Amino acid sequence: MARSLVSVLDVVPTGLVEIAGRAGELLRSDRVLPTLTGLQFAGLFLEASTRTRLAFESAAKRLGAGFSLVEQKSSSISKGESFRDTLETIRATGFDAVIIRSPWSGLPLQLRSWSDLAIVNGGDGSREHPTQAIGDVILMASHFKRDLALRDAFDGLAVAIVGDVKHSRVARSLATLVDRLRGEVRLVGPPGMLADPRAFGPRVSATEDMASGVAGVDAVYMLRVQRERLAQGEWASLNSYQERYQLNRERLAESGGVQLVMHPGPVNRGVELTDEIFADHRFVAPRQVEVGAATRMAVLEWITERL
Amino acid sequence: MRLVATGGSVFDGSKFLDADVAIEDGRIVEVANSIRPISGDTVLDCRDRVVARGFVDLHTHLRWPGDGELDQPEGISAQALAGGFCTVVAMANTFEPVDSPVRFVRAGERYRDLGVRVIVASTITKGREGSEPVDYAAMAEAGAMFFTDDGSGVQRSDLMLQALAASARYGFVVAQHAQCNDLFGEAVLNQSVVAERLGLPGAPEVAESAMVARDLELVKATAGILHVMHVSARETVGLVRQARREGMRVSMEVAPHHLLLTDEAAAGADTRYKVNPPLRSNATRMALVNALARGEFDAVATDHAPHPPFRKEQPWPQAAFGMVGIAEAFSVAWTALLGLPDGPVPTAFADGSKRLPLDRFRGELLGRLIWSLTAGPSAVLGETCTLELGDPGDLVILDPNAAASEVPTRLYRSQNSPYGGIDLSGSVVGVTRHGSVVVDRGLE
Ligand SMILES: [Zn+2]
Repeated sequence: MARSLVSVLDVVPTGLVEIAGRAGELLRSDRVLPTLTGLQFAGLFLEASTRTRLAFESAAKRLGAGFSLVEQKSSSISKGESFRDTLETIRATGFDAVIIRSPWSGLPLQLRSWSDLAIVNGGDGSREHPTQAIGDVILMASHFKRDLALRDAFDGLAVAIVGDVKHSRVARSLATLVDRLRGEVRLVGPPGMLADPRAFGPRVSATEDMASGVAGVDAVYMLRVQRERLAQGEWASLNSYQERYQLNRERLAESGGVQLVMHPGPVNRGVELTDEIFADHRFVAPRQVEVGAATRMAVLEWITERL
Repeated sequence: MRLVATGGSVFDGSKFLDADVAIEDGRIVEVANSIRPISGDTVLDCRDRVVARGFVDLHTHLRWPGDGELDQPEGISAQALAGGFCTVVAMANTFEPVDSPVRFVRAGERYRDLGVRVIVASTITKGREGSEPVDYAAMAEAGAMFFTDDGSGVQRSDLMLQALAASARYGFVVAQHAQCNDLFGEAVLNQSVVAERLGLPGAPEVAESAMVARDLELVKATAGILHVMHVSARETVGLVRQARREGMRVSMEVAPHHLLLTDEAAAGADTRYKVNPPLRSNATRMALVNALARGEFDAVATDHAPHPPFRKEQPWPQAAFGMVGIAEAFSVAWTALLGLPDGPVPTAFADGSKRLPLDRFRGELLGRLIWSLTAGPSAVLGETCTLELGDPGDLVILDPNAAASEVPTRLYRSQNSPYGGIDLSGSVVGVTRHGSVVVDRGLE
């Protein structure tokens, strides 16, 4: 069985340390060696996502590897080409690993059971987005000076994840990983957008109340507001949502000791957070992008066992 | 030629007794304490085994006409016999739903020469679309006795009322796949932490029990005959129990997979565990096993649902609901019952048999299970299932002490068995149909 990154727990405990170490190296050096020369990555992008595709493509190319998009000919129920067939074609073509982005939760887990190709999950439905969460955890560990090699690396740290947790693959991955590192996680959002915290671990809780949710936390992770989703739910008005869940200067001040305000991007300025937060030195979304890029490269090395 | 089953404990439909059974010309000709075989008899040594009438499955998907099926009715019939079933009710949700007398008769002809006896179900609504009733008078006239839109629940109360009123008039059974679509939503598994972790929508148990509650009110209003299919909600059991106390004609079945498997099985996102109603929590599973042991269920019914890989190996939202399991149904339910801790059980079955190779507690459980596979479902169909002179020579021979083993899923061409790698206890050793041995797994 090849290595795969389908869920954040696939890198706990050892992979995470290796990936974090390598990502740190990459961030410090200004020249990247082509460690993956000769390798070929297949991109199976079943939903449009230019950002993610470009991010993985550039990670592969900077390390000297090839990257090509492959097509799934029929993803509807038919007797046509199945995912199993597609994986077989990918393998026969000589690809070393598949990077998959899927609108359907759980598909990367299924692909892993249908093939022994290495699989990197670039986000599946509302289930997981492990590379994003791993990068974010690496950034937190570096900011809070925590050693990821320790079982309780995040002991005493608290993170609030605010917004549409229910439909967020980033939130699911992040909550699971922070809990596994013994950190505390508070999911904050309106009733229809919260997830059952028990699913992610014993140190995860959920609240509808923004003030108590962010009180005393070390980091606040703001999720992107999906206007389409707001329209479907009971939060028909963006105003009433913002009144309760937008991060602004007062809320940040009230919370106490928040040192990091994070966001998976792209930010809706003035929606989930105000312009003044966007300009605040604690707002580290740009840094997340840099760490994310290094993390993806480290993940590609790890997955192909070149780390 | 005569066939004699000797030395076994015989379940006669209501209790175990020490008896030998002789079959000649396809019928039972003698049930007696000791039958001496004569030369030319086929003798089945049933010592340490249990003999019962062939099982009745109220819920089989024979998939004809189908759409790219791997398992044809002949194959499914052979799998049913291997599981001890001699009678099955064929669900009406075929590629062309059985919603007219022409289709009903055609299905009956297609199934007539199968190894198992097939009772063809009719849909409740045209095209199983839930918007227009089938012609109940014409369907009843054609011989339909079991009506179901299985695969979907009848959402509209006025249509369900109409169906139950016709049921009271013609005496047929209305079998409901109880599911309120508005509560079920786009669910693909149980509402649970497993669903939450997978980021997939889950269905609460109330999506089932709310429809059962409504249907029971409709039974009250019509005096119709209701059968609740594949019960998977704790509340359903209590609702039906109460309705029976009030004298309503209501029955219910439970599926083997709901007795043995839980929602945790789907944690790895394997769509073999996508089934409707979904696999529930362990607490609910245990409640269902307990209810079966207490005799709350009229039937253990398989919901055997073959699907070729192109329908199952799909992303969760698109993958078909359903799993196979008719060949291992007895072992699955028996394994689930054996998981119960010893305790007092009503003595209803196991009193009179010294040949029964089980202690008192397990003897009662086995009696309840066999009842739920024979007399119970037969009564739902308005039939009897005794083991007496003149009854059909359809026997199943069971070894309840067969060591746990992985059941051969190779029987199925469809690969959607959830039981690979699971050790099951007890086995169907042999089956006779019209007095001929049709399944032999170590009878001699
Ligand atoms: Zn059903």
